[in-house]
Amino acid sequence: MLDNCPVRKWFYLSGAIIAEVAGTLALKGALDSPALYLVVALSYAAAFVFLSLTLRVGMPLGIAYGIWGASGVALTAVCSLVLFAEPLTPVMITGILFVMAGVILVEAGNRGDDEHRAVPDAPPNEQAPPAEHGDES
Amino acid sequence: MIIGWILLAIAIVLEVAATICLRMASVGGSRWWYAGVAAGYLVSFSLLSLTLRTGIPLGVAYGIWAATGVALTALAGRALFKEKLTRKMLIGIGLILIGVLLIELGSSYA
Repeated sequence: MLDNCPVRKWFYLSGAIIAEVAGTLALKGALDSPALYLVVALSYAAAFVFLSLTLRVGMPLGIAYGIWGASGVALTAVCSLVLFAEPLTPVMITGILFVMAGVILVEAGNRGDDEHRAVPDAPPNEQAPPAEHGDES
Repeated sequence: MIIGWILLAIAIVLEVAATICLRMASVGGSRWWYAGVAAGYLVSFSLLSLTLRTGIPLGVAYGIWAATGVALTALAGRALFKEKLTRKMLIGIGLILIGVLLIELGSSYA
């Protein structure tokens, strides 16, 4: 049903990030129009469903949560500039660059050897080398 | 102000606990763990909003909450679920921590 397809993992994680950012932006907007609280609740629920799916297809918790939380903070800052004309100061832009570098490093470090699985779902693929007949010591 | 920092610390512990529940619910665990996720985050957010009333600025409280949560969750994943944590990943988490703090502090003292 759900496999460890890497594309699916990133698809779910992107969904979780977008939903979280939508929820946080709606929360800011809800100060003016309270109907948006409905969007807040739905978005955060969706974010956690997506995050849960991300973990289910095998992304480690520490990595998923780090990328999800940090990307959400960075994207929210950028979107607040566009939607609410909130300032994006040089300090904040530096922070966004740090987050981006950190996310890349964490993912690169995790990819180092790819045999880690949160769930050992398949029996190890023990392909015995073709047996040599008799004459080895 | 002291009480604010204590509330913030409890909020962070609950956030990490709720995140661990999310991992338990997602991978092979009982659905009941989702109750822990919901309760943990609700109480954590409530405490976070209480800390704001003690005079800690939003960006500071949220930045520390988010950054510490990321770092502690990575350590918890390592300790509880035997997740890989290489030197490169530790540096990456450090950069994420600094980045989140810079974004939130930068927005608070803009």
